[in-house]
Amino acid sequence: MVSLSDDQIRSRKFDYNIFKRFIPYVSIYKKEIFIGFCFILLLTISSLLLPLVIKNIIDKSGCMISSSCENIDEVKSYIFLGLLQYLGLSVLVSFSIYMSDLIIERVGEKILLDLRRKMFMHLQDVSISFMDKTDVGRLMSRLQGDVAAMQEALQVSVFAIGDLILILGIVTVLLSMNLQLGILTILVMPILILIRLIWLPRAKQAFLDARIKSSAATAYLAENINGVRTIQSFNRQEHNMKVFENKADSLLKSQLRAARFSSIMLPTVETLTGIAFAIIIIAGASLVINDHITTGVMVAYMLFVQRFFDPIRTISMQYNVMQRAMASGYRIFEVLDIPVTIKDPVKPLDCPLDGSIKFENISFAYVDKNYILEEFNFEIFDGERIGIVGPTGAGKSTISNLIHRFYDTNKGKVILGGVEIKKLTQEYIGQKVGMVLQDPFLFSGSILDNVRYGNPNVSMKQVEDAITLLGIEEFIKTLSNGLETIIGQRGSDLSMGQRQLLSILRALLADTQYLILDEATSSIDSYTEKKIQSALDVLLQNRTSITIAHRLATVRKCDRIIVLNAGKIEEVGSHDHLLKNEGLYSKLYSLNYSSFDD
Amino acid sequence: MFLSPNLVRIVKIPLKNNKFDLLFSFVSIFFAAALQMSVPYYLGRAIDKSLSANSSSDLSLMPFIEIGITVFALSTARGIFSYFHVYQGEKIGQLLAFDLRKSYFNKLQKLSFKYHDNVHTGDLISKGIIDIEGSRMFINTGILRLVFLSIFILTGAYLVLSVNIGLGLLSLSFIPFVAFVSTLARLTLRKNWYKLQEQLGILTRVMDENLSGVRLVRSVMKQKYELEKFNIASNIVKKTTFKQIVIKSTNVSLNTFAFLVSMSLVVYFGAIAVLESVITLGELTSLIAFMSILQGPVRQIGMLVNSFSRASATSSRLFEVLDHEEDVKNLEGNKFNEPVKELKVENLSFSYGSYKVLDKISFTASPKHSIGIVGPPGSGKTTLSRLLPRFYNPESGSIELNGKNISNIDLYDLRKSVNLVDQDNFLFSDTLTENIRYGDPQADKEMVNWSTNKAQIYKHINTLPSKFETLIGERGVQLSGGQRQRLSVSRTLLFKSKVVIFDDSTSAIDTQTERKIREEMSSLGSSITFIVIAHRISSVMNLDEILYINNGKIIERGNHSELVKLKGRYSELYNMQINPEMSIK
Repeated sequence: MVSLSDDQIRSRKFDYNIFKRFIPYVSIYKKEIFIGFCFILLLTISSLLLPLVIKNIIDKSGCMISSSCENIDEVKSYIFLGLLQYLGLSVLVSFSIYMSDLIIERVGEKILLDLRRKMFMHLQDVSISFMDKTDVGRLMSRLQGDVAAMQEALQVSVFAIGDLILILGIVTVLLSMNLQLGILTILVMPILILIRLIWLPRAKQAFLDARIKSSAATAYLAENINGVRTIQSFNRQEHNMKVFENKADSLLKSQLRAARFSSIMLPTVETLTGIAFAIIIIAGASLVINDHITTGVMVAYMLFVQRFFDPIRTISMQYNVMQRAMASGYRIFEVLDIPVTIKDPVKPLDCPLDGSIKFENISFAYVDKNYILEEFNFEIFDGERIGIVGPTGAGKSTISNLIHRFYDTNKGKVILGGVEIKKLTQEYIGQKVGMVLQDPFLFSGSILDNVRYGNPNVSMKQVEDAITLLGIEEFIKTLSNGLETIIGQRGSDLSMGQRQLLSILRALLADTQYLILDEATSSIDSYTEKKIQSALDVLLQNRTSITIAHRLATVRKCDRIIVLNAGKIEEVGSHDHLLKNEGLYSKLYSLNYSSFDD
Repeated sequence: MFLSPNLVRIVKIPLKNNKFDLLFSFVSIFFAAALQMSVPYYLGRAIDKSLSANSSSDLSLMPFIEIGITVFALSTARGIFSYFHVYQGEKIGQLLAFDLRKSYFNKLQKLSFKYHDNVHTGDLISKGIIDIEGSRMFINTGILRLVFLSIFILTGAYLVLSVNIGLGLLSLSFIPFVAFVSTLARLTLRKNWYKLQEQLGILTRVMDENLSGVRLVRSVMKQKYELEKFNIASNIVKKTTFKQIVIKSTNVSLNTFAFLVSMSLVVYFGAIAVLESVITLGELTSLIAFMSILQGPVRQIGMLVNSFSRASATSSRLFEVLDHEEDVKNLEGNKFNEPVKELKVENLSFSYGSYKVLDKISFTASPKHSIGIVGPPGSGKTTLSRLLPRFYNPESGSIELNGKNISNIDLYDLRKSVNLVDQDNFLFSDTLTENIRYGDPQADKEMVNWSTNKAQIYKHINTLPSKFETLIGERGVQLSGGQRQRLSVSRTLLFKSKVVIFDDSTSAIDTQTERKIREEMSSLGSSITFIVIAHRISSVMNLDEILYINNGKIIERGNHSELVKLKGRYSELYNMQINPEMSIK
């Protein structure tokens, strides 16, 4: 069976395969990326030219000192020309900054949204068996954190290419102005690269350590907030405070260590800049004195050196981002690679169904050969009301899973209304078979939206009628805004019993040909359940229904009751018939047990 | 807006605890800024010297070596001071976060259920992460940066103006513009950021609910509808993000443009001034170098304003929690270590806001007189169970242990004596052993075995791969409802309280086992007082007195047979559960 890998892995070595799989998502935007890239190129070239214009102006104005000026006005107009050049370049620089930022960031955002949508769409088709055993939180962190890491990496890599070009450009210009001075100045570059290489793995370790400590402290805080009631019950406040203090303390220590690592690069870069300046001043001056270069060249060197190290610094940081992105990419494609095991038929049937359900020789196991149902045969007739009871793990809910084709059988067929369900689309099955689940799910939003979820076209009148039929007007009235009440955090402000009531209401409004009630009233108090039972009597008339329960009272009025035990039918019959049968059912009943789990 | 009272409080924390670090950091900032500003001056001098040497054909390199070494020394010194500037700033911030984190943690543990009932745990957690982080960053990106920028820009301004007033003003001209634009941009970005977070929250919710409710979505086949919901939420996020990108890009390019324009004017008029011998070429060079150095920090003015406004929001959110008054106050020192002979509840009333949950409840429980409580959902049973260990304060009436009002008993002793097995039996992500001995971390293996045995979970634990060392919770083994309940019962057993309240906490355990567990507990020698709240009649029917609560009032009371004879609500409930034949008529 497919399952997701560990989320803890924070970085991965460069893997060409992950990279390759990413290409189709990027190549959709190749035109935009190309244009953005052109602007980066334009930006690099024009910002390299700026110091050169200053150099020319300085050289011209310097003629006064060397008293080599021929014509002051001519020099002035030359300088004015320089001003225009500079202004022109300024416009170019600012414009290309704007364009490249805008284009690249937008493309990054678009790719992120595409990836997320693709994952989300894929998860809609993935089988329930996968969803059942995968924590939603883990999927969410892939949909969010990992996708964001990929987006960051994409932007960073485009700008890294820009930085590389900038370094090459600076080196070229420095060398071409004067080869000797150029070589001397560039010498400091490898020193910085070397230091970064030594520094990086250690610093990375320190940063990682700080992150790990930070999430440990956060996790502890979060758990203590969630479990505050238990903590106060068991007088653990002081003990936990000490534990937290230790965690906070080791977090502080590792943060400070990380801070030392990140701060240490500052004096390094400054010292290297100082060396480069000293080289320019001493070697440059000697070249100026000997008329090998002009003063303007020396000034240009100084200006270039000031922005010499930035690209090197950013590039080595980007390596980190890329590594993290590899891990994220791996996790993203893992989600996209989950196979879709239950597929709709190519030529689905959409004929009307006759209201019957037939299980033909069904065997089913969730894992390996651990059969939950074995050789299960049963036929339900149109309009019949069937109850299924049995102890936990008897396979009751499995039957409802199979009718909906949430899982495929290992052996045998489910025939719904005369058609094998594999010949129907899952959408069609959904239209025909309604379901009320034990742990009813509510969306945040209004009560009304929730109860209309199965059928948005239901009128207000129908909703009100259904409420009256169920006899739950009072409950709706206690809500602050009636049907328009917004429920928070998936209905966490409602009790389980109240949520079950709403879920029954939802199924009632969806008005499907078949209805499965899977422990639908298990958390409703006996008092309310009695009222609902009479509503169900009306509701289940002329409808094929299956009521799954462990409380005996819940299924008492069914036409036939299946007593399921360890995946096999123990006995079948109406309540009265089963009592006469003197089997498991009547035994439990006569012992005054109200449910199978007592 | 600059220094809200909360920001002052934030700054005061390091002022109180880390005076030396703060002082050291100011000194480093000062030298780092001043030293950085001195470099351009020497660059200019080198240019002038080289020009005069060139024209006078003085070939000695000595003065240049001198200047070169000076620049090198200045840069190195500046580097060292910046190291301390950055590191000290970080350190103070981290120390502040450390302090805040601890007080926050401590406070939350002390606030009563009343507080926790009314806040979202998610909010509290994010405050503990994001708001503490925001306050921490304020030290570095707010207060220290303010000091740094002021020193830096002031010395820079002084230096360029002393070269030449006119050109100096020209080279500073981009500062107000950049300060204004980047501040504006930052504030707009921030406002948008909040909007974006909200929209991202909606997107998250759509995805999360879709995945959590997968069975519902699939059973009504709503994938298309869900995709549509996703697309709408996703497109809203996209629009806001694009707006953010435009603002950011515009800000950067406008600032660059402003800087480059004033640079070009400085170069132009500077060159003319050099031609007219008003200034030297070296002075022009240092002006240009000054400007390049100033550029970066000036752009940070926007971040500075942002940091102030962010920190004032985060700190106020944080202090809101830290300043919250603890309503269940502990009167320390009033020891209570005696066996409980009697728990007496008299005229107990409690309201949530204007909604009366409990109305004049009275009963007496003792080891020989156990109490069962039944009633419809929302009748006030859980509130009552939480009032007994004083997780809330009663509105009126009293709860007494051996005649002592519980408000006067040390909270530690009270909760040691009165233990509640809650409905939502919270287990921690830790090993089974640690969860079982949660109330008594010193308990030995034997005790843990004993309590799990009594709670009928010992056998099951031994079937697990790592037995008692099995991790449970998010990253560990999943347990069924019944297993969780048994674990929490064994946790309570080990805690050895004299009064044990079960609040529907054995619903997933069968009745026989449940009864057996209680019998085992009472047979432990010392006498235990039981209060059992349940939906299942079979859980309470053999207790000494049963109270039927409805809308916060006791409407029926007595033992099982008395109540059945009464033919009231209790007997109706009993019949429904035990004997459906009689009720469905």
